[in-house]
Amino acid sequence: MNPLTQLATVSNLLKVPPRRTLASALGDDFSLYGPAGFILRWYALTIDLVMFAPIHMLIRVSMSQYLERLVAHGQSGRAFAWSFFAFLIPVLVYFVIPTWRTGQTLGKRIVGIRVITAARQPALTLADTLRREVLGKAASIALCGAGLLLMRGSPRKRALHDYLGKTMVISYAAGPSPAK
Amino acid sequence: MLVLPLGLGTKLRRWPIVTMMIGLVWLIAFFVDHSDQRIANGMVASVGRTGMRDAARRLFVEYCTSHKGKSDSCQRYAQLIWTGFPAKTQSGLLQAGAAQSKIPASKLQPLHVQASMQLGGLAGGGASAEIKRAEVLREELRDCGSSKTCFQYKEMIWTFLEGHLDRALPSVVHLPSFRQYDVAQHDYLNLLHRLCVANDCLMPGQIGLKTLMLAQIRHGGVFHLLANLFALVLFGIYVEQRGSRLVYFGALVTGGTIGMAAYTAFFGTQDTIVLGGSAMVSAAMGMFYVFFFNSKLRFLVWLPRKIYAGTRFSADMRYSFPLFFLLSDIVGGLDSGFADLATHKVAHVAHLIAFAFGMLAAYVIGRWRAVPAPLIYEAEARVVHDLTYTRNLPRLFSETTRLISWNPENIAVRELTCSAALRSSVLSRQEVPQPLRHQAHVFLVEHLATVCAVNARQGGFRFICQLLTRVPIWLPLSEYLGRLGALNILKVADFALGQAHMILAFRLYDLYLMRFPLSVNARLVEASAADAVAHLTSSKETILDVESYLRSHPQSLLAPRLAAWLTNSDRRSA
Repeated sequence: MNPLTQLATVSNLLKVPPRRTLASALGDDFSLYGPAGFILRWYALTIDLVMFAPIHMLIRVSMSQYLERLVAHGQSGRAFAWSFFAFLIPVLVYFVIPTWRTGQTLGKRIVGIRVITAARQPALTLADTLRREVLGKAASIALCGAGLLLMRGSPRKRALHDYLGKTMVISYAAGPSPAK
Repeated sequence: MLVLPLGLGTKLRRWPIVTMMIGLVWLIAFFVDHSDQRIANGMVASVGRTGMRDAARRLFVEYCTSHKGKSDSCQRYAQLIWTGFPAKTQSGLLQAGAAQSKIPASKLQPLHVQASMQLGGLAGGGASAEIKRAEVLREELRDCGSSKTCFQYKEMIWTFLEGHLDRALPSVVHLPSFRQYDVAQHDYLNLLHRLCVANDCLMPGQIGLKTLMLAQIRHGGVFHLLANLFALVLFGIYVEQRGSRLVYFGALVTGGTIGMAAYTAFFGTQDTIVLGGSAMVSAAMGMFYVFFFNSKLRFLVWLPRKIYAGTRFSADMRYSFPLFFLLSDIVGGLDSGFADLATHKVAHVAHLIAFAFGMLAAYVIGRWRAVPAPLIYEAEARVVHDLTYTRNLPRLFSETTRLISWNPENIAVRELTCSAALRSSVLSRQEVPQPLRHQAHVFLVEHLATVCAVNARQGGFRFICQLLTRVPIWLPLSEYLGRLGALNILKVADFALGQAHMILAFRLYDLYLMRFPLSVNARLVEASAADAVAHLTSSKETILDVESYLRSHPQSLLAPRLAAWLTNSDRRSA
């Protein structure tokens, strides 16, 4: 008998289809999770930027010559529109859609934090996500990072983009905190 | 901010001898064989002898002026063509100021050439002034902004650099100095070819087994060597653990050779000299990605907030690896052309071809010598198989700890050892030596929650129930399932209830209520637990279990209900 086959079946044989039960009716209780601190979120952002950069470059580099030509020939408006498009697509793909669907970008998932609504519900609306990820973060950057400093004074450690998107970030991987 | 990949970041099960040998060969070749320097010197001398630089610059100036460029601007930008190379020399002697060779000029006389591939540090000494001027020009051209003129020059330089050597631009063929340029180019390519024959370097027309092997050993500079060594160690040491060393070595050499050969034959220009072990490293990366597709990639993140060694994180290999490593090569390959203005060139396509070969090789090896998903090494599968039949608990604990240090994702061995520890009732039997009982306790505290969490995610609730029903009733579950999430506790409890494991169900509900008393779900869970208690059958075993539970968990939130149930059972039996 192939030992590998035997190994693979140890728990496979015991799998059952999920039933509709108390757990599926109640879902996870997000009120049990503590808010994620500034440092954890900084780690997540750093990892996100490292992961996001090649996706952005992939689009940007392939268009760079065309964009430069547009600018040089006085079509700055068109070049700006294309640049914006070249930036928006990776932002949507990397930041907006994953946050909207799962509450996590890759960096947040790695660090173990998750975005939920301010009412501690897991499902974010697309409008809230866009406000948070595009408008809110742009505002935070435009204010030279002052939007992020709001985290210091906020009891639930919410930054400007969290307020705009009506969201908060929880420390998800650490598990529910019984003391909360 | 710094993000440094650490590969799998796990302990190695054996010495990575092949990887170390390859690295050693690279180092020895770098310090002993100075062919890169000879080739570089030869290229410099050949440019001087053939007057290639002057001819190319003259042609560029004519090309530039014929495209409405100003004569003085064209002259200025011509410095970007063959920057740092010498002007035409008399009788093979290098002109002062141009590339002072480390080797006497007399030794350079017999043969020589040009190129521009990965040979760093071509020029030295007096050529540095020209290099500095060229750097200023590059900076000027980097961002032309809305200057149409700047962009026109930039585009002309790029077009000229791309097209002048391989396929003459139609617009330059009819220029007066093209004939002279063509002769210089012909002489130059001849010299380059002779130089390559003498030094066995890899370039189009020189593709052979010897040149391919030597090219993979040689490096064009200390940074080139260090970067390749770092990547080889990062990935190669783990790929080597997967199975046979011979297969690993064969795949690496074949992948590197195919990558280099395909790049040189189909993507290299006539004056391209290819060297370096990066194609070999790319093959190792391709194998790494396929072999450890279901594993985690570890990396270190350092933030400028305090002096510390950074924090380690793990990411799913399937997403993070392409983003970290693969896309940069694809981006490099896609570059729309202005990268030619930079001084260094990287053979991205060679990397991609070797990477694809590495993936294919790993896929074939994976089919040929399969290892089931939670395991990643062939040796690991053998050890787990041996452990399946052992009844020696101390050996089981020590081997499991060793296996987990190789592969932290190895859930199979955790399941095996948790099952064995609980099945043998090591926690409850008095005759078991105290050290062994302690060892089992520590192991279960460390791993039982992980086993339950992974199985809950995969739907293995029956297995979890089998494990947890063996935890002695007087032991608090919170000790072992402290890290199990709230939702998973509920899922397992629900399943236990559905399978009529009433005692286990209320133990789990009790665990939930004790750990998360402030949860918004607590009241519903309590109601469900009360329901479970009400449906307990009043058999002798159940009564004994409940009595035992009440004795050992008097602080339980369900204690009053259980006590009431016990009283009612006593009455009924009376």
